[in-house]
Formats: sequence, structure tokens, C-alpha cells
Amino acid sequence: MKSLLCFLCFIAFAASSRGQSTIEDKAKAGLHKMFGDSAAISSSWRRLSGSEIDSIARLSHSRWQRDSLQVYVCSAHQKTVGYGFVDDVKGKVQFITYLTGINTDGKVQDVDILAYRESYGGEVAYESFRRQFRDKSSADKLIPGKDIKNISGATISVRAITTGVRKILLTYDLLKGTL
Amino acid sequence: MFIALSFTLAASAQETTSIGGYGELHYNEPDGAARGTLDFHRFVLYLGHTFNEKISFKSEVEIEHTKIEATGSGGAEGGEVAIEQAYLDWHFSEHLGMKAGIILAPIGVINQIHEPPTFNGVERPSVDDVVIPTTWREAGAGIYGSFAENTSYQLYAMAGLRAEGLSGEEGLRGSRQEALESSPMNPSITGRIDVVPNTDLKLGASFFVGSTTEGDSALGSGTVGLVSANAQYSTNGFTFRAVGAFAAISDADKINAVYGNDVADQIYGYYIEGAYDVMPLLCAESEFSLSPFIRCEKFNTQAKVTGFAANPLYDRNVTTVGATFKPTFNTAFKIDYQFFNNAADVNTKQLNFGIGYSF
Repeated sequence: MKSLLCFLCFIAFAASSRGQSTIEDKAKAGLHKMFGDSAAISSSWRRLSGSEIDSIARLSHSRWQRDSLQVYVCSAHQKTVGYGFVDDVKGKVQFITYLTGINTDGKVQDVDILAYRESYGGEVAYESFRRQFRDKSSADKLIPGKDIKNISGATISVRAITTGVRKILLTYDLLKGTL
Repeated sequence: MFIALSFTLAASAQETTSIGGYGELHYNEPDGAARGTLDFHRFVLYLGHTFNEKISFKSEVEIEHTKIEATGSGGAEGGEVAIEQAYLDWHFSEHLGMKAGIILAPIGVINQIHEPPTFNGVERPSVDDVVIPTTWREAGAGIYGSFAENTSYQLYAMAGLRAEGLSGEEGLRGSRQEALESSPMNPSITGRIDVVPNTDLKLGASFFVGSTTEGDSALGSGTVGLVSANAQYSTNGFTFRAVGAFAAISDADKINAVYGNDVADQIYGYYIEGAYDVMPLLCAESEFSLSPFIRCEKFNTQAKVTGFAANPLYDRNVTTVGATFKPTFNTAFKIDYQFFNNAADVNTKQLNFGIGYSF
């Protein structure tokens, strides 16, 4: 029992002393992976009106919990190549922070899980799950379990991410003329 | 920019308390003269709290069979109130997390994920009752995480089982301590690995090993070793689930000499289940699901015995046919019919209806 306690203390110390990167750092790293290492990344804030939030919520079954959001713009050779949105959705207890990259055709470049804090359902970070979103657009309904396959034991997280990505695609559609 | 960053972090870093739960109402009607019964079998509340981005508390409190009555008010009949989970979860990274408290043994499928809308059939599989003694929880601590793409692990040390609770009929079920003034004298190790090769398939393997005799030489070591494997596959509306478990108990003859519970040297059980969602055939646009299913179980809690004859009543088969209707992913209406038989040729049947929810 004593050796077990020592082992657990060692793990706690080792884990807590590891370098921590911020969500901002992870988002930028994720966007570089999606749009190329040489892409320049800037960000700006956009405000959503009450009617815009309502309209997105009605179509996506997921509501923005704030009225302004940060939009990352990725450029290469002075030309915009894509956009990034960071969002939190509720898992079973904890929030899941994820990044959605959208290319200039309005299609999902990729989805990246930036922070997963639950002890179950972490399969949503697997490549085999995330790749289902690639090339999806606001024209796709993204119905969990049909358009996006469920993973046994990760149903709540799968649904949270799927409705979240749909919300971001609809938000992009709304804002694209002004980005 | 600073404000922007703060906002993003604040959404996930603030302390929050969340509540949830699940429950299931059952109607069970045995074939023959016996009357059916309506029973709100489980009413469970989750209470969780997020202390910061890494540390959270999670718990599950269960009321079974709606109430318990004090013996002074007419009888001791009724259910139970139990804390089935209560642990601190320190999630360092996707590769490493740590849990400490009352935690679930990560064996099989139903023991860890048992919300009624997640499984077919009104009643949980019998294998997940007597072979894998669901809900199997003990005080303990350990680690979990993902060590490679598509692969996750769990490894815990927990209080063990007690030899006096082992039995020929119910296997390991009565030997759980359930964190009720439990003895740390039978420390046990349990763990599992899950692999998700693609979104259609999930494979799991799990184990448990620990002594049961608290060092009492008259009982021998009483070591229980259990291994289990499971597979879940889904594609185009078809879902398939297979679970198997095998347990070996050393010195069962010595345990029987003291307690006389006809404990077996070996126990096994398995089931396979297939279901198909027919709703797209009935209404292509519907978001409901309607899944007829069949589940076949075989289990024997006296597969191998020493010093006495195995009871054929404990070599059992259960076949369950029915359907699950789900208007949402977390609500379910269920109907099924079960055929029970055993090696003693005692055959019974039962009709079940149920509703279940989780949120």
C-alpha cells in the first residue's frame, strides 16, 4: 500500500511539473497543422446579435453562451487560406475545448480537441473520429449517429462536438461576407 | 488580445457544479401464475463539481426499488441507498489522469457504462450480474489515459473481495465490500485496455486480481483472478456486442471448508447480442430509433468444483428477444421476452417492459 502511495505521488509530481501550453498556443499549433506551418495567423473579435444567436441555435441545437467570439484568420502569401474558431462545449461534467478549421470554400479543414477533461469519452480526440468532419459544410445536417458515427462509450462527447461543429459552420456562413 | 484569451480560458476554468442522473422503471411478469410487478428499479443522481481545468469530483448516488423502510415501521423490505461512485479526478493530460475515491472496476461493458438507454433489454445482462458483479465498485485509486492513437488504458488498485461472500449461485457478487468499512487487507489490481481501430469497432480487454482471505492461513490465499474481453461493432444501423469473462478462485476448497458456500474453482460467462435499427426503413427522416434485438447468454458459476458435485441449476442460459425504441439518444422505451433454462432442465420465461432515461 505504501509503495502504491509513493507511485501515485510520483505521478502527480511528474504530471504537474510538465510544461503547460495555453489554449491559444494549442489553437495556433492546430491551425498550422491544418493550413501549413508557414501560414500567418491573426485573430479578431466579432459580435453576434441576439437574433443571430437565436437563428444559429435553432438550426444547430447548440447555443453560443456569449455574444462575441474570436475568429482566427490564416493567411499564406497575403491570401486568406482559412479560418479557425475555438469553442467550449459541455461533456458529461467538464467542458471540452475544440478547434474547428474552415477553408475558404466553407468546408471543414479539420477539427482538433484542444482540451479534454473527462475520464470517459476521450475517443473524440482520435483521428478516426475527427476525420468524419472533413469537407463538411453548413449544407450538411451533421446528425449525430447518422452523418457522424457514434463511438460506444463516448456518446455524450460525440454529440457535444458534433452539434458544436454544426454551430460553427452556421456561424461561419453568417459571418463569411465580413471576415 | 488579453481579454480574448481570458474569455476563452474563463469558460472552462471557473468552478461549476453539475447535476445529472439516470433511472429505469421495470414491469416484470413471469410466465405462469405469478403476478407481474412494477418497480422503479433504479433512481440515480450524479453530482459533479469542477474545481479547475484539471481537477473535478464525480459521484453517483443510487436509490434502488424506490425506498427503504425502517424495521420498526412494519418491515425491512425495500431497496437500498448506495454511493456507487465518488472520486476526485485529476486529469493531467490526455495521456494521464488519476482517480481516487470510490471507483468502478473497469471490467466488461455494463459495469462502467450502465445508463439504461445505452443497452438493450429491460434488465441488465445476467452475465453482468453474477460473473461480473455489476455495479462493482470499491475504494481505490489509479491512473487512466491514452498512450497511443486509438488506445486507452485504466489501471487501479482497490480494496478486494471477501472470501465469506463468495458463493456457488452468485459467484463473486456477495464478496464485494462496496467501500462500506472495507478492509484494505485484500488489495487488488484491476485494469483494462480499449482499442478503437475505427468508429465502427471498439475492443476491450480487462482483468482483476486479488486475494480474498485477509491473510487467514486456514482459508489459503483465496486469490480471485478474472479476465474479460468485449467487442462492440456498429455499421449501417446494425449493432453487435459480445462480452466474455472467466474467473478462477484458488483454494476454493479451503474457503468452502470454513463457510460452506459451494464456491467454485472456476466461473465463466459470455453473451452475444445483435440489434438492427429499423426506423430508417419505416421513416427515413425520423431521428428516432427502433431496434429489435436478440441476446444469447451462457454462464456457469460452478464451471469447475473440487470436493463436491456441481449444481446443474447454476449452469445457465438466458435468451432475450425484444425491441428498444429511443425517441432521443438518452431516453428509451423497452420491451422484451426472456427464456431462462439450465442444465437441470428447469425452464422459465418472463415478459418485461421498461422505460429508461439519462441526462
